[in-house]
Amino acid sequence: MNPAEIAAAHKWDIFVYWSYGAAVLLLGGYAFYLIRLMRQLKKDTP
Amino acid sequence: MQSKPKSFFDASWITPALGFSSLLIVVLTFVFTFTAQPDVQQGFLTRILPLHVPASWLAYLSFGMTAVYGLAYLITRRNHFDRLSASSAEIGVVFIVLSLFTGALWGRPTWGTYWQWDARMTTTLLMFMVYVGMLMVRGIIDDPARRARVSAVIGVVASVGVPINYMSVYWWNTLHQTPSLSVAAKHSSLANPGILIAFLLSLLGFTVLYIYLLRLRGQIALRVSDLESEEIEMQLGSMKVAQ
Repeated sequence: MNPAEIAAAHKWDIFVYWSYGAAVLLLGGYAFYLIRLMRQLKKDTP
Repeated sequence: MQSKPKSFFDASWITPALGFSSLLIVVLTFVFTFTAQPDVQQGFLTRILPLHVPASWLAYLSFGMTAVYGLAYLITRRNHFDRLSASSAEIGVVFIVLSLFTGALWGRPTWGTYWQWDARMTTTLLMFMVYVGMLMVRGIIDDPARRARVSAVIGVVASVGVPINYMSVYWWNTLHQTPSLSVAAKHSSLANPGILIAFLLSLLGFTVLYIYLLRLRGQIALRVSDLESEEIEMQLGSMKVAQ
């Protein structure tokens, strides 16, 4: 296998990082949003 | 007035403990995923499996629980079940978005396309739209009792999508493969020990995360519902004064 073929075979590997990045952003972002909302509500409704 | 004794499930430390546990398990999942050996056919792309499959399963669990809580509400008329049903649907939408996104990214290099209108992908998209619709319907009904009733009925009826989505790969000729656990061991990415451990950890971590998010979202919904009741009482009070 020449270097160009090896590079072509791995060109989609970046999608693994995109997937995990999306998971962190989506699930982490949702959890962070809920935590902030809860704190705000606790402040507003003692 | 004597305060009502708190049960074990009401303890304030449980929610943060669940949050930290899920975070720890998810970090461990990442470690096992990114140290797993590449697959013979898919190379490093096999590392998407411990994310995509548990996200899909958790969407099933969330929507299944939406129906269970919805049914419990219709039988008992306890607002507690309505809050849990709506919270579970919202969490399910988050997981199904993750499933759709990771599926598209996995599909492009392995199938040659991000999207195909095959039965599995189309029913997944339909489920996403139905539950977003359910949450939107909740947003436009002001009367809490009517909102809970309508939402519970949608939640119960929409849950028929879960078995249809799961069985779609058997019932129709789809581009999507049959469930990962049904693939013959020698062809499955789960034959890779690193991916198998990451998959099991991810499944556990996402389940704990689901319970954490459900508790947190349920507690928020309870506070919002208290505020809503106060607002209604104030409006009724001002109407009486005006009369």
